[in-house]
Amino acid sequence: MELLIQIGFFLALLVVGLVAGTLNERRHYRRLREDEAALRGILVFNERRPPDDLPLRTGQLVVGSVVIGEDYFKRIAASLKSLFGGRLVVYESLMDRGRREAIVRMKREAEHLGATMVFNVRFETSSLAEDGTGRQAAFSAEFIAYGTALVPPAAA
Amino acid sequence: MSRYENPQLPDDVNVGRENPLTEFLRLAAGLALLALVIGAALYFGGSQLARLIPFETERDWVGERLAPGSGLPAAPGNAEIRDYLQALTDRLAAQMDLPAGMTLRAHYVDTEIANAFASLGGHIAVTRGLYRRLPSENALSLVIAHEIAHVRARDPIAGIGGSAALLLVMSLVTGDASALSGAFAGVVQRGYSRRAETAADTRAIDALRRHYGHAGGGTAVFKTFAQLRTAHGGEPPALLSTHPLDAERIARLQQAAAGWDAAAQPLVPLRLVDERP
Repeated sequence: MELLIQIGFFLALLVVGLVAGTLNERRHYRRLREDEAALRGILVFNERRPPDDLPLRTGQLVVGSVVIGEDYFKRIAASLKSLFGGRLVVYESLMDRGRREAIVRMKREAEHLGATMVFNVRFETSSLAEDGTGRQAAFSAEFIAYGTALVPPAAA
Repeated sequence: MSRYENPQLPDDVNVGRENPLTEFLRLAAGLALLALVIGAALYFGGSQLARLIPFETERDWVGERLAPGSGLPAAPGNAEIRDYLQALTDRLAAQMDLPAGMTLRAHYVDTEIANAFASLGGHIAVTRGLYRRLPSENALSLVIAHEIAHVRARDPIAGIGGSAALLLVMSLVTGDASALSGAFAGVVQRGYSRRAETAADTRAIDALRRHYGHAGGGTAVFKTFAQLRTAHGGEPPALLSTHPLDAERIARLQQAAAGWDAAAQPLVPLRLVDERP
């Protein structure tokens, strides 16, 4: 009986994680596509230097960062997959959303400054999972995108 | 400047196309199957090893008393009936080719729950609830002979050995199986395999035939259980599920009693009646 209750709780959490997580992810992707379309005017490049023939502009650091957490289903599905190995598809979408959201936020900051281009764009990702106790806390990751926004003199 | 642009690229290349839910269900099913196979192998291996323990050793571990944890009250029932059960057990055992040194001890358990079981160390228990409901000594003998057959086949210790192997490995894997072990012990010790039950039935019918000259009167046991089952609203009492009823077993008993002439070979009545209300 006790075991049945435990299994019941586990399954309930799993379903909650699956439903809420899937809806969340779908909504996030929809918003990402809208934002990306809206910010297509801001160009981003990973080149370190702007081309020499570009008219003079001031450079300014722009940063976009976001923290994304897993849901219960992702957590269990990933630990199950880790027994066998292979691609962790459940985390692929999480990381993808994080990187794209960070770029969107960085572009938004650049837009604020009146910039149309960001050069030398870099990514940083760090996992917030380790709490030092050795126990695996809920997995979440921070994504930072940063670069140098080139602001035309008139706008600056 | 025309070199510098951000063309629209497909935005789904970084995520696998596989549906996480289908993959999860597939892996979970595979893991469950694997666990089942390993669990079955462990249980089988553990029970085979336990059968190698000499019966004398098993008896020394358990001692003179009915093993605890059988879920029944320790209060002994009527002493005369216990002696009667013991005498019947000894007579039946004489017909069953027990290995040398295997001794049996009968117990009469004071509870209304109708049940009979064989426990570690050659202890055989019949409850008052069952005894009162049996119409003849022949029926009682079938029950006792069935339990003797379990002891002879070492089924009780095999069941414990199998669960022990399973729990040991489970505690090694999970680190702490104390939460699981109780629940699993209940599930695992619920009953012997169908094959063990069938073998015990066959031996019991054989013993009945040698002792009484026929195998009649045995189906009354199943009728008693069936009546109890309907009295409990269709659901069998938990303890009875250690001896599952099925049409196959009844059919085999009827077949065994086929040549029996009830007029020429009347059933033996129970020698003692439990008169407690």
